[in-house]
Amino acid sequence: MAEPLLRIRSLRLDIEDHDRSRAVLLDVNFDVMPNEVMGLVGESGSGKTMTALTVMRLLPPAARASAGQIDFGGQNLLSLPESGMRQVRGSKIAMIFQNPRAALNPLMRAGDQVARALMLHQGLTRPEARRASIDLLRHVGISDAEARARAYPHQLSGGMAQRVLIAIMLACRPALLIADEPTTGLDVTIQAQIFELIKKVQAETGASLLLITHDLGVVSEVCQRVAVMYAGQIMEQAGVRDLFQRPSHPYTERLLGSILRVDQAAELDTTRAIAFASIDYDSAGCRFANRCPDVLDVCWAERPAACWLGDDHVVFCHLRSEGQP
Amino acid sequence: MTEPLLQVQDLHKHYREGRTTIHAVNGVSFDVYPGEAVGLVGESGCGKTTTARCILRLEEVTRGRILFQGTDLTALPRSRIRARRKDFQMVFQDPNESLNPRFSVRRTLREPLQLHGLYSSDAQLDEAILRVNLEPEHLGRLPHQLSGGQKQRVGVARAIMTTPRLVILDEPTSSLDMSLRIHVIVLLKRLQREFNLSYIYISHDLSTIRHLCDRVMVMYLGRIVEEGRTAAVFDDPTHVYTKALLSAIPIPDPTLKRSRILLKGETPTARVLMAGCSLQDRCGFVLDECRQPVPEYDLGDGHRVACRLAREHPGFQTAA
Repeated sequence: MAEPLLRIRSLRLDIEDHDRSRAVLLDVNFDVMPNEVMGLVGESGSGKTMTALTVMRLLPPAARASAGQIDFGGQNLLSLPESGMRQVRGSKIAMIFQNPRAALNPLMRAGDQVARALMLHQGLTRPEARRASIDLLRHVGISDAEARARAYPHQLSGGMAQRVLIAIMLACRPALLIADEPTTGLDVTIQAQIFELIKKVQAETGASLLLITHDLGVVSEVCQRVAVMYAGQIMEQAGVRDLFQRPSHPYTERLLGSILRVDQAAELDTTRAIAFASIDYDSAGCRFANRCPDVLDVCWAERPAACWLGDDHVVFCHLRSEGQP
Repeated sequence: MTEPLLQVQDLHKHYREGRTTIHAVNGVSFDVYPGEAVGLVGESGCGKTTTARCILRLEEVTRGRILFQGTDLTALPRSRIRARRKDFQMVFQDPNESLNPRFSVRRTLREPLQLHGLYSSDAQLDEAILRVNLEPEHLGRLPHQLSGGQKQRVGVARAIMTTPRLVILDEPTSSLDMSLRIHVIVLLKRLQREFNLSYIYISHDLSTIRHLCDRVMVMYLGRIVEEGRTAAVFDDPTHVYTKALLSAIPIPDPTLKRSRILLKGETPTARVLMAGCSLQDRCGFVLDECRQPVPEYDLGDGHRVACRLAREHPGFQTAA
């Protein structure tokens, strides 16, 4: 089996909130393989965005990665000095965000931002970069690219701004692309366009994609493998088909049970859905225990160990670990 | 046949912006019957929220009539509207903006009763809070002490305090986690049955509409382009726009192979009122006739569509 491109092990992230500290990520482990689309799925508060920001080392000041390692290209990103991290950001790992307009420089024309990335990462001269930037904008599906290149971010729609960001990312030729809810806030028909574009770009460049989303529909259509996060912990990880066919963590089952499918009329059954309750970050055991319908005594006290259900299917749940080989 | 509760007839709403006119709503007509949930679906800028605001008379209409139980709301003086609002209420998109941050839940729920002279005792509030699966202890809380799901349920409880006949819900689940949508839909269905409420449910989220609404109207650029029974529109979408919208939604089933109709570009500006089909510049199947005014085709059982292709070239999809 090939070496993973990104390997996250035992990652822990603490955030200081007033005078107490909370582990918003706890014992996070997963790999992203070369040339694959890996999904990180979870609800708000699951830590999926924090995981990405930790990889990029773009954490808020109150946050501290206190344990674990993030191996990428033979280096542990967590122990890299900031100067070394600058060599990685953009060039090797690029990220696109939820609010694309906020990620662009508001004072710089869209085309210049693409051109600057080309000069910085591909060493083009200014005139070369300018020409290449128009081609790139066209490549990401921007019609009338010359005119759009002269636009400032506020003159672009959300979908258009996301295309510009994808063009910038292409200019950087990263090995790993992280997309954090890249279509949130966009209209449905524009979302479809952007996902088609992201898939196309990923296939063309051979980069790996770590896609962060709350939408299992997106996971199903875009990803090959997926990790399910809840309250800062990975609950289950599997190939996408496997996860949908054999969800093995009570949280995954309930996440799937909460889905309202647009292509099927069905009786709604809230007993199979996730119960209303707040996230318990302080549990000494499984953080899903307070919402789990099948909770055991041990779930409150001990963290579940990894239970492998296949080569590429792992679940962290005491209910499963009993029958463990 | 029962009388409609609400009749919207040829509604137009235009806004002036400097020298240009924004054509937000352009000739929308529909009825809502007692106890019925009607979905109004469309993307941003399609005019769905403006339509709702006109019905509630939060906006003055440019043209058209809105009959509520036979009374034309657009012709009522403002002073009379307030008293009628007891019968039609709204649940807003963002509970953080629609709940007063300084009001306890108790005060939020008591106020509509007092305004309409319906308040007798706090027992009414206990009953109201239980209706939306919250506890009387929540009455003493301020909005910031509630979770997003709880706040939205307070918004629902407030809307039905005056036992209205019609509740307009504007994207009530959009600020919630996806896994909580099912709870909101189940709650709304139960309340609808209990109080024989009619709903106008405004959303871009077709999945919740499918599970809540009896009928659905698809809006694009200020017009209804397709309408019908929910099952008919979802299982047999006819307008190219409806097809594109439905096919754009990712379905959580990796075994499914789907074909997707992608629309070109983005929604054009509402500054220009297009002759002919409003989708003409984005539709991959467009014909010359589509630039002419589009008739509305009746497919039976209330299923109507404004798409020439669907009617006159039903095989267009395979041909393309």
